[in-house]
Amino acid sequence: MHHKLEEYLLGVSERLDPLPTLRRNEELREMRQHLLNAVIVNQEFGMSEDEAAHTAIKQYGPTEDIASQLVWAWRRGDKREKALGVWGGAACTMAIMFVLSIIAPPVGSALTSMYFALNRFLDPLVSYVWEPHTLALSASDSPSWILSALEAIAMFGLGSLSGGVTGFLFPKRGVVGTALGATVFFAVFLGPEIHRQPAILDNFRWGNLILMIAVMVLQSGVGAWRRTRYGRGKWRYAR
Amino acid sequence: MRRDLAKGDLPALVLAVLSKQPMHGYGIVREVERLSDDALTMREGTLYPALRVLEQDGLIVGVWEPQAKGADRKVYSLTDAGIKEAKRRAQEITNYVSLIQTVLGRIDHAPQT
Repeated sequence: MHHKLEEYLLGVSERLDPLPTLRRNEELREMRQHLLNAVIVNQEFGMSEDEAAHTAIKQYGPTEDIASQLVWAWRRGDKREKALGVWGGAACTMAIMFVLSIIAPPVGSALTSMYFALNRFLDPLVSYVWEPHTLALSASDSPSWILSALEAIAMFGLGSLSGGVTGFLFPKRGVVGTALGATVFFAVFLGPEIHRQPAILDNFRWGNLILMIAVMVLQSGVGAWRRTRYGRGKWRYAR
Repeated sequence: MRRDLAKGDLPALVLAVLSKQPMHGYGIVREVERLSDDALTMREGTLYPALRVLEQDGLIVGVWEPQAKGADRKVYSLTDAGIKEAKRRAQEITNYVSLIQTVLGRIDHAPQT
């Protein structure tokens, strides 16, 4: 491609920095096709390659104007997508978590028992800190500990997976949407269980519960953020 | 006489051109010029922001299509909503032009005071 076109596209690309990578790539791809077409047609009218490139660029418009209009157009659509992103992201996260908890029994089990699993981990440790000679760990407990560990891993995996998928599908406000969806989901899932067994909810266990929900929401949010971040990475026009 | 196409008129012309057949960006520019006997010109780069707005509004869709010769091109076509909107905007412009002509005609024929 003619060096003038390369320079022109580079100039536009630098000004399209606010756009997500994929969008910027597509704009530049289309722009490149347009300019190449124009150069070919100009040459058919008898222009030299240099002249044809110069005319094509002149007809296309100044880089600042073109880039600012494209950014404006993107921001216009972005506002709408963001509004959709929050609710879409929340619905998507809840749907994924719900489906996985239904089709994958270990995950479903983890969802309903995660709060109680955490307490199984923490209670003996807290006892040990307070009374070091009474650590309630024994070889006979190992299956229960392994199960608890697997449940915890499943939960973290669930958060990452649902967050990742949501972030991919709803890159605009996907993180907020995911966090909202995860919060609602855990509240709906854990609410009845908490209501059913209010007697066990002392201050310590309330603390655990809040901590666990916060961690899971954060985990989902990080999953979503990593996917959306991928789409926002810096990019420079490559030859 | 050549004149620049007003930015506000571009979306209506794009819809009108696409109502005849799906087309890529470069083709739309050339078609507007051809239909106006090269009287209307535009900064070609301004077409794409207008296309993005029409896409966002669900009036057109753009699809990358492989070409028999050369690189892929993004070809735009009207959606169902776009077909209705193209007719509406064409009618709106026709009415507007007719109104202006009426006003100008009456001024021409009005007695001098």
